[in-house]
Amino acid sequence: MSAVPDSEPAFERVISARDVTKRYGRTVALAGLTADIGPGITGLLGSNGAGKTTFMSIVLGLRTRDAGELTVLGHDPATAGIEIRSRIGYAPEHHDLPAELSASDFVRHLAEMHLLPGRAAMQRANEALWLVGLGEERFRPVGTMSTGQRQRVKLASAIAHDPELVLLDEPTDGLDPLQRTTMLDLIRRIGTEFGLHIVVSSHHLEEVERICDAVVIVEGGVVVRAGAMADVRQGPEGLVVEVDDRVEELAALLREHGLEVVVDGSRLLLGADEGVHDAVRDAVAELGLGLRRLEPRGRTLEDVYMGAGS
Amino acid sequence: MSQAQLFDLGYREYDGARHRPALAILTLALFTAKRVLGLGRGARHKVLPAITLAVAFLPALVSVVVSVVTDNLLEEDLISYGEYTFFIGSALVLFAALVAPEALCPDRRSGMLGLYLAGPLDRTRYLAGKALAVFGVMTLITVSPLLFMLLAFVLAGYAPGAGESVELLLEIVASGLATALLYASLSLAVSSFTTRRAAAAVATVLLFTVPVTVARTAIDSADAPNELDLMSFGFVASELSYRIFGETPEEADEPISQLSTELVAGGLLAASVAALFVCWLRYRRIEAFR
Amino acid sequence: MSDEPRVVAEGVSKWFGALVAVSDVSFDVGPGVTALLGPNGAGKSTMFRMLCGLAKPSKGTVRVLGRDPRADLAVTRSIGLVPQQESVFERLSARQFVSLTAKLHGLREPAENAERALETVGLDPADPRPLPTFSKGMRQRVKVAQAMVHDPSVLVLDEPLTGLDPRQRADLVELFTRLGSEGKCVIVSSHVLAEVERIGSRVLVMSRGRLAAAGDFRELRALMDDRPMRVRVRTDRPHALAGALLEQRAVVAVRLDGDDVLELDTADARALAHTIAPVARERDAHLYEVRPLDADLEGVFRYVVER
Repeated sequence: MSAVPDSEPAFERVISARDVTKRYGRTVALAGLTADIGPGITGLLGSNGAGKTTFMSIVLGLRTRDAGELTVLGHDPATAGIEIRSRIGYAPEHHDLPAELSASDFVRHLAEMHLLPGRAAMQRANEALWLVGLGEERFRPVGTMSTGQRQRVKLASAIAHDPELVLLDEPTDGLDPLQRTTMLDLIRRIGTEFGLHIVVSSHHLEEVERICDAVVIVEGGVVVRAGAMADVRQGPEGLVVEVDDRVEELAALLREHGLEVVVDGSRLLLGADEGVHDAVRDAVAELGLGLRRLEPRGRTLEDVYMGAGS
Repeated sequence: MSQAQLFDLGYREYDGARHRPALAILTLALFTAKRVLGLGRGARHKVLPAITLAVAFLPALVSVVVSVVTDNLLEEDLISYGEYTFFIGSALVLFAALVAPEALCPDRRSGMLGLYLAGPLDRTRYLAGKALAVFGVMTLITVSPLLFMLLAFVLAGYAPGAGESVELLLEIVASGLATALLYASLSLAVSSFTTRRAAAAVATVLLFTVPVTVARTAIDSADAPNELDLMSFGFVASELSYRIFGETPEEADEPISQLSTELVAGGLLAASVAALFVCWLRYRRIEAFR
Repeated sequence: MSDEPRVVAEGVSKWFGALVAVSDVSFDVGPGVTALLGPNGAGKSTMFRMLCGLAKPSKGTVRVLGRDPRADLAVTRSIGLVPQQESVFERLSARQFVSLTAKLHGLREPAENAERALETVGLDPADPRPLPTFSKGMRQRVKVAQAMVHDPSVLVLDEPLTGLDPRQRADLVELFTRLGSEGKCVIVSSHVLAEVERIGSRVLVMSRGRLAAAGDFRELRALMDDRPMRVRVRTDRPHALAGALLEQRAVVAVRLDGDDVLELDTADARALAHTIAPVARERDAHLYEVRPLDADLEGVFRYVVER
């Protein structure tokens, strides 16, 4: 599922915010936030204290905004909070789950609390736990579970009632590298194969880059960058070349052919000029060098993030 | 089997029926009621509720057994319906101190309250569900012993005629509901102030023992008005119970006995409403999200 | 004895009853930044605690700057620890808390050192708010400040970036790199491999209580000889290129993906690197992309841990 560019307003957005403002006393948490989120998987980025959490709680209808318009799944959270929340699955950042309940009972109870009839809740809770990869462990009390298992329990509880929108807050927190990859793949599956809209709030830019179709960057209570991942990262194209050795020689040879080359440690950076690929290939072959890497160099999400809001 | 088929075990959409959001309150109430009684949990969570319930049933059981054994020789109830509430007062306090903290406190200690509020509930509905659970469970202990007694006597043939029995039934229900309301509300209010179950339990017990001492000392020594005895919550409930059954306590010299029935009923209602209001106020201010 | 800061573990084991948390681990860490990696439950935190003298090895020795951190309290002044667990903070402000640590270390100007440490991690020393009101990320930075206030030569950081936003992470990563290049011995554990790659290339990988790998991860990759290296190539003539590379014995397996992508498995990455450009030129195939698929830290990690 890819995000639809803003130029098609007829498409219904999952979350649509216009100039949303929120103050706590004298602190301005949201200063006119405008964003369109969904469909697909959207990453929500921003510094701590930038307004992400406030925005999410206003989307859920847990806090009221001071001004602005907001539509979530077609409703206004200020008036239809309960309706909205019945259609959203939420996995909080903290790992504080009721220690005594088994994972199975926990997921089932939350599914029931999200208005699924008893039998359906039981079945779907069961399936959700399989989908996230929890087998026998599901019958153990949540209090005895590791962080990795808890993250998966949270995810299962967020999708068990077949919500329209899933909000995940730092879903890879506390997971080791291999568990992170598994979790990210799972989230990607949920968003693409299962067709649920997902908003992932995360501090890990590479992870967001990996799985999200679109991104919204919040800073100082406003959105500073937003759009489809491909669009947001658009920038000067270029080429990155890595060779085993004799980097300067290669650079010199390429410059002789009229190309602009920048040497960065063991890498060469070139502009996306006409014929640059062949020039590199031939120069490397001529010098008999080992070619390790030849990659287009667009902007990474990190480039975008660090540049935004400054 | 005609053709080979591969079945898709992936995610399935749910197209089935969904409840109305208001039903979430009931779901919460049932879940909470089960958990506070220890159902669906290990055996050790059933012990205290079971013991307290047993203690509450004991007088009824004894009364029935004695009547049956002596073939109702005594012609007078060992324990009357009216005085039952007074009799099991301690068990009621203990039960309330057990149930309400268990219903409210753990959710705030774990992140469960936040998870509930992130669903089709708001704070008021959440409390409504919890209050319903505690009230329902309290009603269990206030009504069923008397109901059991009535039923046993009816079956044994010792009960008064049909008309009176129906009247008795209504009185049992009324008295049980009133008592349950007061005990549930007060213990809920106390439990809204702390996340520690033990502290809430102790505080509940204190709420039923300290004000009564203060009030009666003031009335005896400092000549305070009898109305102050409306602070003696346990006695308010038991006194109302007597009045409902049209009885008077044996030594009707407690200050509360001097008050009119309207005042006693009003006092019970006022205390309950005030307690629930306090509970609601507390929950409006709790920060449930981290 | 060299006076370079060093942390040496020799045959270290630690068990808790029947649970063996660390089993026969030996390593030698010098100045610079070294990352300690491993799946959850591999024994990293236990290892950290032993390095700082907070736990005693059941077997084996730990030496920091040549001395036993448990027996020799003086050496703990040269160690800074950022523990993983949530500390119980009193109702002190950041400045008070860090100054307290400075005083405990016997520094002569605790307040000044505390201010400097707080500024280094990007916190405002003048902030009077009590620590329990701080966000997770801010508490994390206070922990780092506290570990650094006495300018230790050995810094042990267990998941120091938890809860921090991207900018804060980048700032701290830069700080650790700088400290490493200043000659301090910095041992960091982290689960975010992309960041670890940026901090440095020296790693220690623990798995199931044992040390599974040590050294520069790029060199480690070269050692993984029973695993062919995988390289992705985008070209306009995939079939011709694939055939030529096979003929040259530069690859052991080829997978075609779509119209223009090749996934090549090679037992000799160096040979492939030297072959690919000349062969492409010869076959008149454009090379749009050449990308190693599992030569990064994650690829190494997966291999090491899943053996």
